[in-house]
Amino acid sequence: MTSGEDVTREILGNIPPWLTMVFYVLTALAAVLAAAGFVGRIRRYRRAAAPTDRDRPRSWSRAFRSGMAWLLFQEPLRRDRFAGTAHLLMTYGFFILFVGTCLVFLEHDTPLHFFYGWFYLLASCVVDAGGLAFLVGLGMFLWRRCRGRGTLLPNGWWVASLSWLLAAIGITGFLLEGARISQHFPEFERWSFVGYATATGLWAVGLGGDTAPTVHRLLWCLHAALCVAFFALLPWQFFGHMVYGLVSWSVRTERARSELRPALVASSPGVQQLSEFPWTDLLQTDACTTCGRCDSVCPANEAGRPLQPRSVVLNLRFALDHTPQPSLLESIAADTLWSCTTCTACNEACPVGIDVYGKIVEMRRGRVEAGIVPEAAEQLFDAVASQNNPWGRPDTSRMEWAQGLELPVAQPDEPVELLYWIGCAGSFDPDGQSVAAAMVRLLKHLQIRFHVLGRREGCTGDPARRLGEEGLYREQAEKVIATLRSHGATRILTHCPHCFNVFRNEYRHLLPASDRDRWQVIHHTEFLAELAAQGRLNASRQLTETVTFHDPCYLGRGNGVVAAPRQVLEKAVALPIVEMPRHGRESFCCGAGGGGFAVDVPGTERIENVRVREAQATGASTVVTGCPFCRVMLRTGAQASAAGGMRVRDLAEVVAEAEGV
Amino acid sequence: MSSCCVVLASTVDLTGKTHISRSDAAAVHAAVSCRLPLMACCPAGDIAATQYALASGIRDVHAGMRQAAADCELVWIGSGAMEHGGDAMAAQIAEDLNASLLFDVLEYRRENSGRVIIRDAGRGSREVLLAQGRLVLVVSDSASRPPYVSRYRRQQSRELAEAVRHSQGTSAVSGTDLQPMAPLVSREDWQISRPRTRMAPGAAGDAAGAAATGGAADRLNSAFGINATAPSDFGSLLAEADPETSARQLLRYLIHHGFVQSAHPATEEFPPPQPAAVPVDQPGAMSSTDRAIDALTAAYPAAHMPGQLSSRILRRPRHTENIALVARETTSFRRAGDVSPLILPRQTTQGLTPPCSGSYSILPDAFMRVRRQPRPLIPMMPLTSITPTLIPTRERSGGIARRPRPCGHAPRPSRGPFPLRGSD
Repeated sequence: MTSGEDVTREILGNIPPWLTMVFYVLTALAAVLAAAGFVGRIRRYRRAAAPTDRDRPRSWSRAFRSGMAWLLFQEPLRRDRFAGTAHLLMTYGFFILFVGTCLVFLEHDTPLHFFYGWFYLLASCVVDAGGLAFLVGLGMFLWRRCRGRGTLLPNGWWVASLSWLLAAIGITGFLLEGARISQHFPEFERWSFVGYATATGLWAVGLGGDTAPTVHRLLWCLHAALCVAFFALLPWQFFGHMVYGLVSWSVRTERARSELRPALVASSPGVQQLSEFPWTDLLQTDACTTCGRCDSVCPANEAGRPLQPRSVVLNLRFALDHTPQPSLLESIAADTLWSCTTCTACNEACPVGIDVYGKIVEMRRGRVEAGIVPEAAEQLFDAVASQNNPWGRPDTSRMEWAQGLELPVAQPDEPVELLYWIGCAGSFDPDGQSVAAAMVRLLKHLQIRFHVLGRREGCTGDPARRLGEEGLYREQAEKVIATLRSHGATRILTHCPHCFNVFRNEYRHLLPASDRDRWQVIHHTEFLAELAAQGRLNASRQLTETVTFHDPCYLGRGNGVVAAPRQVLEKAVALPIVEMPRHGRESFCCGAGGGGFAVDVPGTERIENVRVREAQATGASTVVTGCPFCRVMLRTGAQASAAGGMRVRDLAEVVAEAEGV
Repeated sequence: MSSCCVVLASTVDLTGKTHISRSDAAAVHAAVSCRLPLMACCPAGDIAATQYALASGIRDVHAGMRQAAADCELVWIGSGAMEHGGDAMAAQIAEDLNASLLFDVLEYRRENSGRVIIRDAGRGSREVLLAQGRLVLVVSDSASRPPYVSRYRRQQSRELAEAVRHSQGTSAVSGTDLQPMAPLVSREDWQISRPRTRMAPGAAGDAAGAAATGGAADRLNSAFGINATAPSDFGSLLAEADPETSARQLLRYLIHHGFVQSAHPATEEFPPPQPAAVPVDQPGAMSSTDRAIDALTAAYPAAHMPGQLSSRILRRPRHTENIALVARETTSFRRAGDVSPLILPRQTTQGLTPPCSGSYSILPDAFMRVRRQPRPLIPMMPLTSITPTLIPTRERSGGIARRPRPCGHAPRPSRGPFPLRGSD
């Protein structure tokens, strides 16, 4: 029986031809509407600036593969297990239902004839399973939304409308199938297990038998109308994320998380108008799913500063939809932009690959070019330009910290194999000086040959760049690169993740292609891990602290250096580590990044205090970190905390103490 | 044709670094915002000043300071230029142009009635002048912060600046691709960004239990025993009161800081008002308004802020002049950074002799007219229209706290449908 051609169903049975015709006409209209919407968006993107070479997708085949991988595995979504599972069920369910509908279309409207027998039974079963998965996923979302807990979605009707519309489509689909089956109850339709159960239910409530055709026709009209509406709305608002999100993820630039994209220089660096953004950025504003993951991980938002990454993106979208488009200087508040610590947590959390960090810095660049900067930032720029360090201390005092350490300072043009880059924090900030001194003592103790540049070091331009002063960054970078090249350094060691990031990821693009891989840049946590692996670190003193490690954003999330410091603590120093809830790539910022150590936007709370509380909750007595800026911020937070007494140290200091140097 | 000229020069600081002073930068941006045909004059060979002028969007830059003697309606001079060209330079330019000369200029704007100039009259007071005809304005070092000129703009103008450097005296460059920078004040919202302060190692580490969370201001309050109810919430620090109470508080504030003299300067507690013992027209006599305010002051004992020490009052600056007050009327104005209405000494507004020594004014009546009657000040904003507020002294330095938006400002434009917490 199951292989016969009678094991099938009549497609569009019980539906009068005129209604079918209306359906086709409406579907065509919906398609035209959707196409118009997409064409409008594409036109808008075409008017935007072209992305720089570094921001273009490397190849379309690669973009396609990336998109397919996202669609099939949805790895960025699954970081939130509940939402990830629900979305995965929905996506797979939707895909199966879509394929099922396409099969029906091919059977009905083309000469192909395959929809019968075993194929029909299997297809019915799979489509029912898909529909069920779709509804289960949707139900999970709706349950979370109605429960009002755990959801980060905004309460706008336009967000909820998609969920309810999809739910209505799914439910009417099963009811429709049930009404069709309940007319005759063929035995083989048991393969459509959900539809058969629904049919039984309809029969039980008296909607089977003679009334079934009427019910079926009504449900078909409703289901068809909902589907047509869905397709017509696809390019708009929240509905569009299904398309734009996929494209956005596919064409995103794959670079180190904290690597800042090159400045868009049309007439001047940065953007002041929406049209000055590249099309990839405009696409990303459309791709935003409003899921709120960026807000939930944003340290500025958590500390009550006037920054919510999602609102930045949505306000850009809102401005984009307006004619004439307002200036970005008006659309996005100044304090919103200066609140960002450029920790890239938002980028890391975004399931569709939106580069909020890049947009914020691009808008900062635009403000700098318009001359609108906070006074604190201007002071920092002046300090870097005149004194070569962001603190504005006299450049001549750069090596004062090293008195008595007998540092091997490289002579001009002297070839250097291992260059220890002290950085401005190491030279001028007491916390940084302590880290640098510990590192120098360790290097000397281990008899490692190294050199420092002494007073020929200078600011790398990182803080200026993060604050939007691209021109100053270029000036500083050119000076530093010239100095480094004159020494022919092959290995650069630094304890500052910001310098590390700039050397490793950003200076490369200012070098000729032949020189790009000339330097090996290594952070001191990696360097110490190497030494530990070689067995050169033999702790002579047993430390008895319980420590927790704070991952600096520019090291852990930005450059993926997460394991090295933990290896050092566990193997070389034998200290038990208690992890904070947010650690590794999901670490929480200390508040110093993006010029935050100089420019402070008050919130309801200080970012470093939030982090210190988290560290205290672990029960650890010491917070170890790998960044002089984090050390300053966390120490300040620890001093300000009610409990007090928590020590904040750099990994180099801990190792130096364990080594007895 | 009316035109505008700015004279600027770079200065060298103690460490040997060349920079543009705030006065020169403010002069450039004030000139740019005049939107008149504009030229700049820099010393020959002063590449930093030339570069700055070009980067600010001035298209016509001359090497040589005396180019300003050309037919200009308005000449702006910065303190760096004065340092370079000598003290007499501004006067010479004014004489050449037959123009009025004003020093310590803080603000300038054009109104239907003429040009309104606000100048620093010293001791925290401002002078508002209405001027017509040609003007030579020397900008004060305490002028409001000009827009930042980015390094990119400076880099773009480097080659042109070199060209000016090599030419001597004549117009050497005209035309850059850089657009003139828009004035900062009209484009910028009030910013709450501020420099981050840091704690010294061990500053509060062992003070266990003495929690000091929140911003630097809160920590400072905590250190002085002032209880801020909501950390970092500056809005909560604004005390709202009726106009009479506000007037009392304002007067106490002004007396405390030495802006005005009390009738009983040596006493901390004000005695009840006494009947006027001298006729009004005698020197040092008090007007009826004076008496009324002193009566109010006396009726209101000096309230202490939480944690305020009495010695603070005893330390207030002593007056060496005996200046009676005139501006008791409901006349006031505010500008960015100011928090208290300004009150001018009588001599300043009536006798045209600014109290600041060392500067002089050439004020030919044909070109300059000061509005003397019926009010000494140009009414900018009636006091009664301001929401009465008392702003703590520590917020005076500006850039720290969100302050009430000045009356008459247009509401901030919408930022879209997705509000940002604390952004408005």
